[in-house]
Amino acid sequence: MLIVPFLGQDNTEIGQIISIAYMIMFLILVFWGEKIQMLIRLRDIEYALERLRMMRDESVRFTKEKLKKYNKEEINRFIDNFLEFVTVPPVDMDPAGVVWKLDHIVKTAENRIRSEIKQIIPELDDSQVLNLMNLFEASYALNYYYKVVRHYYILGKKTSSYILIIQLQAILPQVLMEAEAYLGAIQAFSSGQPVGDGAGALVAARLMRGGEIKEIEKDNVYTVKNIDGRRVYFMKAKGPGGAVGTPGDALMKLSEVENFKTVFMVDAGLKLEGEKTGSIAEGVGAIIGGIGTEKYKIEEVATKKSIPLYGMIIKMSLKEAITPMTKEVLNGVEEACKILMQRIIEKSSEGDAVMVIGVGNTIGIGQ
Amino acid sequence: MEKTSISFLAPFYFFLLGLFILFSLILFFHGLTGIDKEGNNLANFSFMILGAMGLIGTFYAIRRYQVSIQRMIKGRRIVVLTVEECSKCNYKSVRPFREGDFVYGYGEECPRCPRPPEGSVENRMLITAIYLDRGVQEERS
Repeated sequence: MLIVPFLGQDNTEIGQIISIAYMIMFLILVFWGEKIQMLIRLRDIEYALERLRMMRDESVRFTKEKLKKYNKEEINRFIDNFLEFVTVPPVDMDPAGVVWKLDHIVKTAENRIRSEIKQIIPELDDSQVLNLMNLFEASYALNYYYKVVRHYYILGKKTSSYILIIQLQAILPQVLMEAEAYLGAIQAFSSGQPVGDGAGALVAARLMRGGEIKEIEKDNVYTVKNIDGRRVYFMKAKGPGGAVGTPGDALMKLSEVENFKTVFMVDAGLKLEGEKTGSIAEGVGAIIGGIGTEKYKIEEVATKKSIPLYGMIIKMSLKEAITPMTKEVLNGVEEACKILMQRIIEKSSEGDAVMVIGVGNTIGIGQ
Repeated sequence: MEKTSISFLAPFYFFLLGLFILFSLILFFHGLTGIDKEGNNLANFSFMILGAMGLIGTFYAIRRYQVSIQRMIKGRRIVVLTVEECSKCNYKSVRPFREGDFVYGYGEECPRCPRPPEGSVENRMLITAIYLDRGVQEERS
């Protein structure tokens, strides 16, 4: 029979060799099977780690290349320092007031980085500084991914922890996807192209066209338009630099002088796998991402003054959110503009003041 | 910036592949040389097939490794388009993105409208959209 020699059951020379090989393989698998599996898994992790390192190095190289016409040494030093920059969150054992502390810390970090960039490259205008901050943040994210994966890889190897290695290997595809998204974002951030996350800001920019643009609080602009007898405030972050603004602060300030009856928020939102990019979901609540400080402020104002919060999400993947805006997202923006205009009329009455906040990174989007 | 201490795993992987190639070659030639001598041609053919499959499998694994490394190194080319519209004659044009373009900024002069005085922005088209041309974007490697 054809299979007999492979089972080591014939008495030919090759049959004996194969049966010895089977026994050796069996013993190896019994004693070192787990170790071999671990080595294979570690190889996969090592390969992913190498990819992450290359992505991190590529982003840093790209950033340095982009800025090579300025003060080279200072910039290199700044980038290397920035990659290790830490923002320590406030203590939350006594949670009362923790949002304001966090807000203060985040703003301090942002102001510090902004002023340091300005100091190193005084030639840059505000938009360019913000774009550069976005670029640095993408490199920072890539460096962070690399360092965390490397940490668990080395720890897994040191402790020979099979569970740790399996867990790390299981999350690696998602980590790589996210890292690739950040790498893709570098081109957008370096040349000031609008990204998917700017969908909400683009909706506001579309609707505020023709109105008088005013600035309010840090990095926000707004305009007031009359729509069917309603005073509609359209607000977004000040573009075309890569800012997200402080819509919470701006809403708090504006609500001191205006009695808003309704607040609408439009933002880009992460879709679930299988959902269509650019599709729109409507709902209630403060539709805004980030660390939560701006969301808190908006909810505070809305709750204190009993203002209904309506929201709209333009769906996209993480990659689409931080890479140049796709046609599908752009179609979603046009659709959101139409729906929003309908909702403003439906959810308010003549003489009411309505606030529309276009949330998101306004890089590449003016007003 | 510190360097990664990549260990022996990649060489170990290639060492294993090398062993596979060697083993496949031995099987293949054992089958090939045994065909005429022993007369047990069915078993010899199966050795040859196994050897050939082993060789194909290992070369496929090496090729896959090569491709993934190339993908890792190769920069992805994406094309971003800028849409400009003339507010006077509604002329619309789509062109590749240039640094400095932003939505609701001014783009090029309208080719249809008459030229305005020097330095005026009146004739320049308004950028109404900037988007990624999906057709030329490479998907995730």
